[in-house]
Amino acid sequence: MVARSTGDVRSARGLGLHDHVCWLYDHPEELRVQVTTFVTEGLDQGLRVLYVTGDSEQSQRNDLAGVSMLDEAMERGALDLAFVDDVYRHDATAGTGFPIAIYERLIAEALADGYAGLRLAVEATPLVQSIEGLAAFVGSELLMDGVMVRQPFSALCAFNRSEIASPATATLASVHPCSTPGATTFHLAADSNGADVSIVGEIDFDTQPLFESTLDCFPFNGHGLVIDATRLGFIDHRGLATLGHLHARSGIPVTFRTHSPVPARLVSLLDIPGIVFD
Amino acid sequence: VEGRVGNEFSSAFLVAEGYRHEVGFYGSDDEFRDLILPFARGGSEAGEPVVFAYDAPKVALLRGWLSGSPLITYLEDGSYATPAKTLAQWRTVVERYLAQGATRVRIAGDVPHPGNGRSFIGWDRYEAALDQGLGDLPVWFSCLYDTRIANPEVLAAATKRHRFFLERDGTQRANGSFAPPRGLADFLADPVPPRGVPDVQLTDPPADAVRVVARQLAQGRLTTDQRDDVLLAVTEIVANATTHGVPPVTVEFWTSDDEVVIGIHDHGAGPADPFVGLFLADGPRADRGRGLWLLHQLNLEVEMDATQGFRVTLRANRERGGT
Repeated sequence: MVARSTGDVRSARGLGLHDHVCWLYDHPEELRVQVTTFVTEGLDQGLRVLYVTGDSEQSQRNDLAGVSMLDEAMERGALDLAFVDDVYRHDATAGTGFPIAIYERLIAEALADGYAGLRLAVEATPLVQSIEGLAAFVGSELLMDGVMVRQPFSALCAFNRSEIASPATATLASVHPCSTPGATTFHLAADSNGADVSIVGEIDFDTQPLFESTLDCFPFNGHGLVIDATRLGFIDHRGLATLGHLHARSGIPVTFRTHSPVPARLVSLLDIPGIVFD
Repeated sequence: VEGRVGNEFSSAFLVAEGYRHEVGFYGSDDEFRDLILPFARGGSEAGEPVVFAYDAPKVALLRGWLSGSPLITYLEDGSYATPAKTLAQWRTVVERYLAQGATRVRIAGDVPHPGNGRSFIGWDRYEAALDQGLGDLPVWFSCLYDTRIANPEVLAAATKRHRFFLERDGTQRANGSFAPPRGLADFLADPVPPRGVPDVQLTDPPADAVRVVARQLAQGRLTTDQRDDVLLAVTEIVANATTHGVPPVTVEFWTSDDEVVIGIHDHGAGPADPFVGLFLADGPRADRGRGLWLLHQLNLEVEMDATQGFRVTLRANRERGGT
């Protein structure tokens, strides 16, 4: 099992080799502070670091002005800058797996060049401002997270809260294993123990609509969905019914791994079909 | 069967042929014997299974009076866990006997009240709900109250909540005192107890904030199972208050060494259905009915009071269990 941060994070400081953070910010200065920390610590950890935004190279350099020996890091190839459009070709023809292939190649190159792994800081707001873009991003995020679980790949995905609709901020936070506080009460992430997805946090009547819409975006394979809920703090009957509906719509069996007797009791009491407990 | 009683609150009362729900009173063991023996022997003679849900002393009396019969079953403890569970239990019991070929089932037992060491809160609603909940089944409930131990408030409520009255000579007559409930406020409720300043009070909290406090207060006071039930319960009540109530919603917590009491109040009128939570609704209102039904399946004391806004009080006590 890989060590990862989950839940709320209040700073980009101290994040590890496999961490994946959704950073919702209000002011560009806030983003600069966190990205500077994330990039600096990545370089210190011997990682190759990639900073991706939709802005000009000069603007990117300004964001990273607080990184010591910035030019030197860029010259020796430890730090790269890229543009969102070049990495995420978010036109209608792009499959959601597209950036994943790019990142897998970049990870392989970083390792081949002697780095301990790849670290990505991306200002991804332009990618999620349309409904289609948001759906594609959310749908691919679990696959991206799977790469981070398997490989030495960490990422800070930053979004400007003032430029996206508030329901979208909750969705984005919930598809990252951790996020800035207050954005969501649950997090879906890739699992390192063989489940298709792990859930932490809490799901109730308030968050069930978000849970359902987020699950709807995921491209689950047809053979079944295994959910690791061993670190889920709470799920009510509505959250479990959402999984029952998923089963009813897709026909795929849903396996729910938990140490708590409560979900099985709720499923039995309310006769929710399609969920197997493990 | 003349008609299936729906889960919707309705003044119409459709009843299965053979359904009976009567109240009777006795003041001595002899009087109890005179009322219960014809009920039991009649069951045996008619081939109708008889289920007794009494405590051990009463069961000892009954066993002394009655010879063993494969048609008579004694359920000593656990039959009156909560009103909703008991209603569901009787349906299961009756349907099982019917599936085995019985034409009717007879059930008699003592509902909880202070005279037998429990609270009566919720059980007058249970008595009123039996017709609604089980009236579609051929089942005969004989509810005999011991006037030596039942207090006047219990006896008055019992009188109001049965359509039929069993005379001391064993004849049954229509009960002129029967009063169909019009709403939750018709049932007995403890006055808001003077618990003093709550340990914690929250106004319009999200459910997860209520769970944070409940978890902290349950630590060291409740078992893990009780804590889990409290978390489910507060979530359902806050969901109900947020969705159907009138703000502000106030959540108050009181604690002692082995007890957590939680009161959740909103300014709405509360549910219109006097039997809300006792039956699992299906159909278009399913989601509304589910939460409060679920609440009543948990091992907690639940009291609903609709006299001043709508207040649900939960009590979990480690020593007494939830029931």
